[in-house]
Amino acid sequence: MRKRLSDGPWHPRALNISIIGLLLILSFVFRVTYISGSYGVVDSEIPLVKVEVKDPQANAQKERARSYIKKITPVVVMTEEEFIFTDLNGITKELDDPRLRFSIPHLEGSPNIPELLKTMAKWNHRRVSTKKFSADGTLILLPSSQIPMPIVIQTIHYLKKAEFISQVVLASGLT
Amino acid sequence: MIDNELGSLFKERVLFFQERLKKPSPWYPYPALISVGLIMVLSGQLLPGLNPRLGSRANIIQLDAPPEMEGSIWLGIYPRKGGITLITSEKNIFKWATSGISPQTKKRLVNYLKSRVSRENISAALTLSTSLPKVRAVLAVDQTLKYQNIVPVLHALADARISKYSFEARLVKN
Repeated sequence: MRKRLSDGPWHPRALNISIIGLLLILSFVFRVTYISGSYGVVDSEIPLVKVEVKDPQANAQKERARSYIKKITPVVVMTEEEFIFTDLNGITKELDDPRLRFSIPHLEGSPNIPELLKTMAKWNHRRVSTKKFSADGTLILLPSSQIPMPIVIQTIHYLKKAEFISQVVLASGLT
Repeated sequence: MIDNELGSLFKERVLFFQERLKKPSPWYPYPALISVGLIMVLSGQLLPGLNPRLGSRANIIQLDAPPEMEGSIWLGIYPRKGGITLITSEKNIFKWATSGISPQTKKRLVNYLKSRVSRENISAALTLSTSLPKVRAVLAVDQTLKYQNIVPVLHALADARISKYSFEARLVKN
């Protein structure tokens, strides 16, 4: 059995503080090694109001909008029971006309996004071909305030996978 | 001769340490102080520089989303003690109740976001180059939060003239 070199006992408080300090350092180290360096993102946008700024310089630069929110811009309302899709006109000026809005109920509580995209693609194709306008890929998503965020993020992600949607504008939500 | 000298010097040092360690040790706080000092250095300087997500308790969603560009304005949002906590990459913390954000907290948040944007604009002007990710906010939103909890943050982003934002997702490993 080895004999201790020191007869002086370690102060228990110092020992405790040292152990706690060491555990904290180790927890930081474990956390650093646990956290991934690369993450994915699901993009969304806040619409801007276009304000023309006069540039007096010779090489005047003009900022052009990629797309506009118009009365034909598609809107998807997401409630706890269903998706309702229409265009902006259908939930504003022509709110009284129920024929402009289409409902896709959730499937056993889960959002039925494949069915929504399939139906919306048909609807979009028909209105683009009959009304003769070019869709610019902007869609407004209007979720109910009680929808959990993972569902909102997943919905944006899968909506953007559709050919006719390139950007999603998240509206303030239904109360 | 030299070996003998070295040997005696070694023995002398060993005896010295033996003698010193027999006495009550007045240096006992120093290991503890070293630990505390290391924690302060690691937590204050080194670790936040490695990953802005340290200190955030947001448990984010897992998706096969496109990879994130470095350099965005990162904000972690998670529930804590019955309210909502927002932590920035610079460890600024903003808290508000689930019922809604107070005008003072919102103003502080908007001012913080504006200062970040103006800092990026100044550096872009000085370097004559602009970086798109630096004017984009990335929200790491905890899975337990509802949409109504995020709306105040979106309003603050709009007030701070940040039009592009993203939701962070943990990448699915193939």
